[in-house]
Amino acid sequence: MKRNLTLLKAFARGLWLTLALLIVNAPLIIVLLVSLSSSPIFDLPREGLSLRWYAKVFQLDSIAGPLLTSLQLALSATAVSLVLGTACALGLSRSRFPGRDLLVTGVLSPMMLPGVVIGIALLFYLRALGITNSFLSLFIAHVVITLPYIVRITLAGLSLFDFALVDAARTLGYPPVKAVIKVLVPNLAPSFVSAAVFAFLASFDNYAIALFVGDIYTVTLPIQIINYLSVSTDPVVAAIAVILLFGTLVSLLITERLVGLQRLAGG
Amino acid sequence: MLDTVAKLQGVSSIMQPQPIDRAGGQTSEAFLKLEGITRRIEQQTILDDVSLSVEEGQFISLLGPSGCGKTTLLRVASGLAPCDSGTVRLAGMDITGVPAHKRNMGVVFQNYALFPHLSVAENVAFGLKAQRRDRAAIPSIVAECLAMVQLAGFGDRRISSLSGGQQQRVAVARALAVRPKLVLLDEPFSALDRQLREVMQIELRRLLRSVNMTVIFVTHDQDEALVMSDRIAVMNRGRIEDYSDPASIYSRPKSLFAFDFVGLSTRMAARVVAADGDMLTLDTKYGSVRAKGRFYPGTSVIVGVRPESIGPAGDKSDAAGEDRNRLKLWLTDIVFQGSKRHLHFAAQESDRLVAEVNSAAINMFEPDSELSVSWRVQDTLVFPT
Amino acid sequence: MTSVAETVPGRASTSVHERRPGIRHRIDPWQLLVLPASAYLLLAFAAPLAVMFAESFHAGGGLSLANYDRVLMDSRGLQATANTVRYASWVTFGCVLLGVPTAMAMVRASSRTQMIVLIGMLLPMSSSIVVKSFGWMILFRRTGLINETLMWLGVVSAPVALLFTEHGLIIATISLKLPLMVLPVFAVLSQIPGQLGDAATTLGAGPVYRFRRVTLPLALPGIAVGFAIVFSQTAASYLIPTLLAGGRYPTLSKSIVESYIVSNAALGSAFSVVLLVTVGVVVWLSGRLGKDHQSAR
Repeated sequence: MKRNLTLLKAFARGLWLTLALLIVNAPLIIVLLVSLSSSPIFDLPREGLSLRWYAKVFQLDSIAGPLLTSLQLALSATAVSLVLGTACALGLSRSRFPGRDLLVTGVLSPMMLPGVVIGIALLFYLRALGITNSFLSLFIAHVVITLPYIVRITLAGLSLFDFALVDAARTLGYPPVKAVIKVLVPNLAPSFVSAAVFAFLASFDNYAIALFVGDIYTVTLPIQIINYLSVSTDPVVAAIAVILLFGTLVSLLITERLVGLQRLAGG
Repeated sequence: MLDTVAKLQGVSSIMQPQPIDRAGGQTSEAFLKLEGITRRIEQQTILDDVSLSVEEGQFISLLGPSGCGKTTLLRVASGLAPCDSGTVRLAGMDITGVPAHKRNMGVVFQNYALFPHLSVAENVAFGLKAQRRDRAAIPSIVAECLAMVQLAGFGDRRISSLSGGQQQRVAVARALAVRPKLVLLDEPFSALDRQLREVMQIELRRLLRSVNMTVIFVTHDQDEALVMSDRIAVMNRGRIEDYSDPASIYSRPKSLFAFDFVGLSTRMAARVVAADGDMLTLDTKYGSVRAKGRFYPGTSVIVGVRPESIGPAGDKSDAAGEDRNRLKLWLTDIVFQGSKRHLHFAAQESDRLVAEVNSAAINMFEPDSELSVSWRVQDTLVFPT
Repeated sequence: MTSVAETVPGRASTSVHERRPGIRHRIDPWQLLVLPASAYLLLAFAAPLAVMFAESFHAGGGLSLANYDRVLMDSRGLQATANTVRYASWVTFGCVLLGVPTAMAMVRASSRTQMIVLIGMLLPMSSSIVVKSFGWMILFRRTGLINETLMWLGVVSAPVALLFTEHGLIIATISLKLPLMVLPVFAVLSQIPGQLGDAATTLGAGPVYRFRRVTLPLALPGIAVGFAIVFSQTAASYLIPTLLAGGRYPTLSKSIVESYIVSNAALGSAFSVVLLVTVGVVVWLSGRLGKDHQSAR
């Protein structure tokens, strides 16, 4: 009796979880199906499967440029944030000073603020300062939005790190700074990887800032996709989307290999 | 001290379990009866046909190494874990299918499992509220239970503000507040440091005795089991290997495992060379010894002796009239143990040779020298390998 | 996602903290490390927001509240605010309702199942919002999968309008934001020792009592975090309502962008401030909710 009840409960749980996953992944599944359709308009693949839209992605001139821009932007913003953010997280976790909690909230706040607000505020500010280079403006803005990801994940990683290890390295003969580098860096490597992955994705997917700060010469990939959607109805966009999705999946799997996803959920 | 006792007695009126009509003690069935309990998890047998009877008011220990199934047995008794076969009977009733929240057993968990979002008093009141006991009576029961564990006035404290020992008392008060039929303790002392542990052991035993509670106590610490219990069940690999009072468990263990687990002792591999009735002559690597037992000649066995049974040959306990075994051994180490010292002798392979002597007599011995030892034949235990 | 202030260790840091008596204001070298990032955010984040805040009081060549008048008194501005709050509230409500049971089911599942569900939640969470919104556009069309299924099942006889409606927008957004509720609640629940549930059970608590008095209060800090994130992200989202609700459904984010397009920076700034205040109040309130039960961790 009791056994059956346990089984029933497990079954109900499984059903609920499957349903939740289906709800959350529904748009991704549909995009995947559409990208495989042979029909020239957005539709489910009724008449047959084809990979023609994937082939077309690589013939589109309008994709390569924005893709490159987005990659350059995401990589450079992540790199700079990683340096600034790691230093900041170290400082925050190792010292107590008045207003420290406020500073933590302040550093993390770009994550909670609406992207369009950050975008519009930066637009006017940079214009007033006379910075007109579009890529530079985008870069400045993207560091702002990626920095909190780095600080948050590194801070969580540091909270699990035993600083007695640094003391141990010092007693074994390393000078202070070298001791930190020798012990902290390898131990926190997983945090760095997951922080970098999430910062990269946050930058790569961001549309709200480029909406204001970009110009016709500096178009990022999300903006280009939105533009494409408004002029064309063929499933090329779906194919692009699936390729992006695949990239995300790969980076998630790499992170999972290195860090374990439970930590990301909790981070 | 006296007022503590008075407090305990004052409380015991409400703490006394409901009297169960046992027909003048003539009912043959035990208060708690576990019969043929088997539990498997993914082909692994955690409990293998375990049976255990506990009389009302008894304090029983389940003793064994980690992974022996003792905690699982406790969980089966409390209803937290199902069993694949077997029955659990309490006060004559089959409660195998009764869910845990309807069994009314007080459980004290290993890390206490106190609710961090509730105050001390709310923790103690939790079970009373969950079982919809008379609301008006709750505050006085909570106060009484807290007084009983010497935490009167701590009701409004947060759990996180308490020390380990205080948290343990709250856990005990919470378990007793619902007036359980049975109290189950799952390694309740493992999170305490050694000194506090010994104080709490005595205190908890006295408290539970004073309210005449039937208790099952899970531990991997043999000293703890010997101190606390009326009877000890030694568990190994999902089975109960020995179930007896502490003195018998110590001096007459029924299995080699029980012998080894309870106390550091002398053990030597041996071979039976002659059997005359129940008197055996055995060959060890250090000489010939005799023991009582029934084995065929030629059998390989393990000879075991408790360290305090062994003494230097020729001292006053080595009376001429007694039947004694004598061996010449090479003394390697003398280990200070407070009032006693352990003598360690050179042993071969998996053998171990230990004797215990009074610290007062220590000047007689010199490490790295030969020493004659002796012990009574009747203290010699023989186990099949 | 949990508030980081709590997870920062204070314990191991005594050795760095010991200040020698006599030397009062010795600066801890670790402390200096926060400076570059703080300075950067001050210049590239706080300053622009301050400028924008000032800009919002700028109208007709002088200081005035005219922009706020247009945001909060004008019918379209008022509608945008009301829509944003209503939309974000419904989505948050839906996410709590679906997310808490999901996180509870995850905690009880095997570690393999947990891993699968985690990936299944993180993948859509980390994939492009453009892609996901686009997926919902296809699903919601009159000839989309949802309508076809409903008609095939005989639930409806004619296609239901989903695209460019508020309820369609809410359903889609719940699906998009659900992981943001599930993950923090799961993180908190998985830290609760399983023994607490057992303890409640042995004390006589049935499943309902256990949920109400143990699981829910302990999960509250996680729910509060999820609540804040889902609400703020939903209220702030621009692309989702633009693609799924169309031009006839004004929201604050859309109004910000529209003001910018017609080159009325001051009005856009005022809309931004209203959005920030709205989100700020909700985040602050949910922070309070979580803090009241902080001891639960």
